[in-house]
Amino acid sequence: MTLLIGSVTIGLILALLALGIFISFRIFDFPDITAEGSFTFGASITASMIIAGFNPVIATLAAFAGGLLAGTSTGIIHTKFKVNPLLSGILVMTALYSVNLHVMGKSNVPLLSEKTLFTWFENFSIQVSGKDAVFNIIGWNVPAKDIWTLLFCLLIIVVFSLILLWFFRTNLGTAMRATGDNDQMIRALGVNTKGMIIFGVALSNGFIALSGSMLAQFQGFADVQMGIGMMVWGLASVIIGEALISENSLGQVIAGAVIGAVLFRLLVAIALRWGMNPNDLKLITAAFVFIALVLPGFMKRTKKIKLNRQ
Amino acid sequence: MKSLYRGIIALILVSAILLLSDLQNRGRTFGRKGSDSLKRIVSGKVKLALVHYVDSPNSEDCEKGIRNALTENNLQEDEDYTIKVYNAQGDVSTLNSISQSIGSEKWDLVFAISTPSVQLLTKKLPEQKIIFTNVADPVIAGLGKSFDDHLPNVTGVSTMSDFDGLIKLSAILMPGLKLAGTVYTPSEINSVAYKDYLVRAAKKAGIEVIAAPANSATEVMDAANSLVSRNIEAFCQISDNLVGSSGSSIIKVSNDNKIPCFGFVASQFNLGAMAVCARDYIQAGYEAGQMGIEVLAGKSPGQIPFRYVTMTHYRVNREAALFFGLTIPENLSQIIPDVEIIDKLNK
Repeated sequence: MTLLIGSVTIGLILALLALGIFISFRIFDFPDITAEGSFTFGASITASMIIAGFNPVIATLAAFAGGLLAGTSTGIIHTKFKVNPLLSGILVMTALYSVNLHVMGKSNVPLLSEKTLFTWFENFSIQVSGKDAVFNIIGWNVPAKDIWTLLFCLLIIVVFSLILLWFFRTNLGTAMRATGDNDQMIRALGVNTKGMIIFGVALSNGFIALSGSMLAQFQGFADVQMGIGMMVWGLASVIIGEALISENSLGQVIAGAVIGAVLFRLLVAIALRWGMNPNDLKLITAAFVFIALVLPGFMKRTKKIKLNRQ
Repeated sequence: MKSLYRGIIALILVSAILLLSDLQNRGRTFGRKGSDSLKRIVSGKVKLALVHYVDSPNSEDCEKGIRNALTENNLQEDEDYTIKVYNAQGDVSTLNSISQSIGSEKWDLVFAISTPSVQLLTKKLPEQKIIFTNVADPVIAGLGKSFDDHLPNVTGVSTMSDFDGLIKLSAILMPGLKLAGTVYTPSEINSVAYKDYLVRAAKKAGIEVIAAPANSATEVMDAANSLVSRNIEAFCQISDNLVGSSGSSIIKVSNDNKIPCFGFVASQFNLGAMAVCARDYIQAGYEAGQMGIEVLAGKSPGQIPFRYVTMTHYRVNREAALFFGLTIPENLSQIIPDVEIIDKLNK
């Protein structure tokens, strides 16, 4: 049960990453590789600020701002200098590598005994449920602080999803979505699509940096290599979510990205829990993702065949 | 709305599978005091876990050493102990999942190999007894204030290289050496620390060391070539994860330009380095394993200070010395008693 709760917590933290990637890939159709840099950027900003004695909330929000900045640079490089979107992402990601080293001053900043957002959650748990309290959930004993941490992460992701949902329904948000869908049409209506793209990529990277910042606080260190592979994970989560929830309403697609991210971590946890050969781990994860992608379509087809027979 | 159910059902389904696999832990309270590990050692199997951060020759050697130590203490795998090996394959999110997976079971002892593994495990599992190795500087990694005053649940073996030893060896083999170079990895905290220590140790001996950064396997050769273009007389190559896996490109540059390479890991020697002063990673694992036995026997990790790995191998390659036009002094084995001079590499 702790394994389940822990995996869901990580899944929720990485759901912020999935939401970020969802914005750039799905809303704007912009293949943005900045993600791997801005994820670490968020982590390194938060870690350095916490070490410097800032309040963890401010440090986390600063990470969001840092992500906005990174995304803005990618957007500007793409729209103002007409650089291919992939390449502009690569440029900023590469540059961020050095920036991250400068921000942290070294390649790895430990937060083992610093006050982070998660120490707050734990303190809250101690105040509410008492120290070393244990909840019994259908037979499993789970430390109360794990449950509270999970609930707080859930709260954060729900709040951010709702903000995102609300935002994309405002006039500005609708114009942004239209930019991704049909930019000629929306330009004809007099919307500055370049500005929309810059803003969208910035927002996307803000979420990604926020995710990195939360993960660094959760795991207790920021490392300059922690962004490696994150874009692939995030993209896989978005696509799993889409495959499961094949509808287009905005709210459901956002929920799909979050569900996909959590599902993905659960699948990795199962692969680990079954104690498979560690060298096969990535192969197994790939197989899981493949099944998750193919199964819904397959089920639909068998349903159709059954209906046809009738 | 209907389609959202499909996602939720999938979530519930997968969670159920996970819970089913975790069924054996049902009803178990999460131990605060780990005193029952001693009872377990008497009554039956000891449950061990081992976490690698990344696949590298050094971490594989550490695992080998840990297993040797267990065998030497008459512990047989599957009879006296079970050991579950995890490998994050360089991915931090996987490493987080591994720590969750470890946290969901009860282990008598966890071995953490490499800095990120031990940092994450000590943060997530403050009750778990952890032994680390293949960590250059546990103090910089945040595991304690000093080698004696550290977190109560963790101890281990530091594999900091013997910088003075290598500088001494290279100064004997290359009298008049003034400018040496090394490739290092700015993204690895070990690597940066090693580079600084090497520069400091070399300065004491009147040798200047210049360092060139490399961030990926493809950049290692470029970095080595850039050093050659800055007229270094020898490579004094520090060891880190990146150089560990792509060290052969440095050896190639060294051979192509007839600039001898002195190294810190045994594998560099086997690739064709002129001489090495190597910490033995099998020995590091072995010593970590011995610490583990002490902890299993009831000692608290907090009482065991961190320490450096004890064994260092000096090896000199006679064939390479001829190639690079260096003479091995007759009295080398008197200056460095345990030096090994190898005439020909058996590849």
